[in-house]
Amino acid sequence: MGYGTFQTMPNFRISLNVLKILQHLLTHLDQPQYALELGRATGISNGALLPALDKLEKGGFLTSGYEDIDESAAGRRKRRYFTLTERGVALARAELKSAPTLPTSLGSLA
Amino acid sequence: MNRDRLLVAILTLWTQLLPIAERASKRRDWIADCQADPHPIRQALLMLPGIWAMREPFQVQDRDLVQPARSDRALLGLARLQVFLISMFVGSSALVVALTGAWTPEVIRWLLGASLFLVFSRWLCWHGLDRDLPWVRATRAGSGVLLSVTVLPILVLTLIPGSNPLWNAMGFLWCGTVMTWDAYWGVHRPLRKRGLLSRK
Repeated sequence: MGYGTFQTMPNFRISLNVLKILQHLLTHLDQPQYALELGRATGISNGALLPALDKLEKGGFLTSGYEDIDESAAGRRKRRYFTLTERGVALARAELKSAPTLPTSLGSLA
Repeated sequence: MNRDRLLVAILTLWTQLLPIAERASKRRDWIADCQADPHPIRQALLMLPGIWAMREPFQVQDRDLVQPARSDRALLGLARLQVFLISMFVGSSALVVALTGAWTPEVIRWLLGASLFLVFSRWLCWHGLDRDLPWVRATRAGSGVLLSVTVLPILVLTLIPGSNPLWNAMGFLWCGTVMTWDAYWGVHRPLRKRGLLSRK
């Protein structure tokens, strides 16, 4: 199900899942999320989440970076956290504003 | 194998679907993500559809599309001979049945199944895949799929009652394997190392 095609990327379709990701990241602009955390928060399965994140990042709508921890002290690997770029914020606002069939909570973000 | 090693193994396998340049970083990220979950192995397994959707489109290079080697042509000839012999066997069996009037449902089913298999195997043997499906013919995973698909009708045929089902199954399986090999390698020889097991 496509909600739109972003003007600068003719092959980039805004699906409902992409919209959910954009919405969630928009509401957590100061709180980057790692992939599975994002999946849990949005209810998107891994099967849809990973390609969507990949497309968004390659499209320049997301930026990512590793958390700043000492892996040996933390006992785990560094996670890659995603956040919206300025372009991503613009996309999110534009798409959420024009999304007609989304849950009502999404509309208030636009 | 402990859980972390299994997790690494699974994600190493999954990331083979991705372009080489992305594999290491993606694997690293997803291992870290999965380790944050109470069920990391399950998470890793659930990632497959997503990684599959991100896979690199297969590109066949012109240099891969060359004619079969001399040794392959020998097998090609044998496989075609085999198809001919099978067709003679089925045809003569039908003739014997017709002459003796032994038209029982079991015999009719067997002849029908054998004829269908013959048509399918001849098509596969002579025309290969007919339509170019690069991933199927030019990767080992694809050849495995091809092999499975080819063996499937053979396994179905074994459900038809026969005098010696095991012999029939093994015979058909072998024929199918040879003819699949032939279809795979007879039309194109796509990989530097040959065959499903990448022998030299």
